[in-house]
Amino acid sequence: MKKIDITYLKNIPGLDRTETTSKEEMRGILSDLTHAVYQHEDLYGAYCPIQTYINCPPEKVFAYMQDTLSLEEWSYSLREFAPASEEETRHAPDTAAIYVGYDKIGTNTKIYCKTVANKDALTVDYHCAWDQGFDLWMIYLYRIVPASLVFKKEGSVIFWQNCRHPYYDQNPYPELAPPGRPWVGQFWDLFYAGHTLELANLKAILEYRHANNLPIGPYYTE
Amino acid sequence: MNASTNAIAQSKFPPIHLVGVASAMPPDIIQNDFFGEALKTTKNRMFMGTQTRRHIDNQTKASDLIVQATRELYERLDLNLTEDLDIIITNVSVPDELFTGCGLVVKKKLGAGARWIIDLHNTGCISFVYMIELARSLMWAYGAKTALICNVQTAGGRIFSQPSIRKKALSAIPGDGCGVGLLMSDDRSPVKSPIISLVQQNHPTFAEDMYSYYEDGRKFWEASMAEGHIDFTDEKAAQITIRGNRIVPAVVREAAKQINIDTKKIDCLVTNQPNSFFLRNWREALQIPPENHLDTFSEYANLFGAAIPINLDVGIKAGRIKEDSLLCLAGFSHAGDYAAAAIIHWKMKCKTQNLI
Repeated sequence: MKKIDITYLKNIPGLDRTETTSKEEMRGILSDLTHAVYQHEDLYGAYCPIQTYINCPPEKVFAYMQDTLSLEEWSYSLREFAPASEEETRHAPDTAAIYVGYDKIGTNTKIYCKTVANKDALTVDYHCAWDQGFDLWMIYLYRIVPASLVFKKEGSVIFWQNCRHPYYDQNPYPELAPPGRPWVGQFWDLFYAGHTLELANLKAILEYRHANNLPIGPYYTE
Repeated sequence: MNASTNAIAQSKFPPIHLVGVASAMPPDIIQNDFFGEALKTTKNRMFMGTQTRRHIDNQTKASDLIVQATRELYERLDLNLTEDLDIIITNVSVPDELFTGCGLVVKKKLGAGARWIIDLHNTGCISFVYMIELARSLMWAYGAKTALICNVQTAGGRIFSQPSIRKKALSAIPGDGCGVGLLMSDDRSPVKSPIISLVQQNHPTFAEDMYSYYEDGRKFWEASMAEGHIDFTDEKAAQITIRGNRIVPAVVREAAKQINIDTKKIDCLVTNQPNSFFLRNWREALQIPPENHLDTFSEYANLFGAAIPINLDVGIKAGRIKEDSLLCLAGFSHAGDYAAAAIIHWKMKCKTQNLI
């Protein structure tokens, strides 16, 4: 039977554990950390976490999201995806297909995207970038959780997270940007709102198709 | 939640004015070292932030402090205690006597002519606003012209200075003091500082979450050698933090909504002061900068119901409340059983108060 040797924690400062932080002290820390309201910046400054419940089984949610082209249905502005050329991606040594489409939120803005999904973990990550396909730094992380586990009901819970990569504040490839177009990072403070709307799209599409026993999609033209 | 909100439409009645406030502090200044090792070594941030507090001694009665503050107020306002006092309402956290309240004692000591005497034992930390509402109702109903409302907090000296209790870190938080306020009818008031909005709520769900506690399990009326104090369970303490965070900003917003203003328009906020976290959280929630939120937590600690009139008096004397500004008095009591907020259009110049 393995046991933890806590002596290895002794030299690590700043830990709050019951052995060193009494329950009394913990009460004060918790009260201090609990505010009545939080500034947008406090909640969404460095990370943009959102989540929702979707009345659709986890495997269907996964199957839908792991297809990059589903973004053309549920995202606000990603359209016209086609496989990117090897030149555009500078022969990225990756097995995942990289698509190039347009982000209609920017004028004349190309967006490159590949999907990294793990069926066992029920994770789907979109690695994206505006303007170029060889450095996909804008990463959208999703985890799908069976609602049966966390809410004791059918369906899925989905967690969506973005991290404020330094490139949001500074376009690393300004020479590739269409002249005069605002940089994506200028809208970081609106990500919570924008992503919330898109997550509502995703929920509406999946719940409609699941409730009506339709193929989950995405739906292609031939 | 089975909460009730009471807000009387203001426009039906002539305005009632808050003419002035005064305070009387027990002279005994208690330093942090009075509480011994427990406070020195506590790492609980809930019990930090006070440097001193006052304790009432065993000889002084709550009525003595009320009389002291009231005489000062009447002298300052040049009013006559025999003629200019119709209503006395008191709230004393630990009463001087069993059974009898101190309102009539106050009248006797002042030689005042008050016809209505009310000793109020609910609404604790927000009783100043509750008493304003009660006084105002009597003034509207019976044409009374003048009401003295009195808050005395005595739990510091009476309870939290007992030999075994003072060794607990939480005993550093209560501090004693007295604040009184004078309300006058529109036709009588020398200054027009009308109460323009008042909302009070009660939350019966939270009515039994604060209790007196004795190590040996006795009731407070039973004889025992054990000393007692006022407590919450650990579980309740966490809930009270959340409740207090929510209900005080909510009741202020409700009061502001009644007069169609944003809470950001409030020029000066005066609340009860249970601890530094509540003070921070309330002004953050209402978007009121720290300089516009008056408190005396560091010097006087948790003054319970007396905090509002005392902080107001200190603020007025320091010139921190501007003439023609919106003053908001707000807070909650005990474990969240009552909450209230009043907004007053404060017209008085700080410096001219002596001249009225």
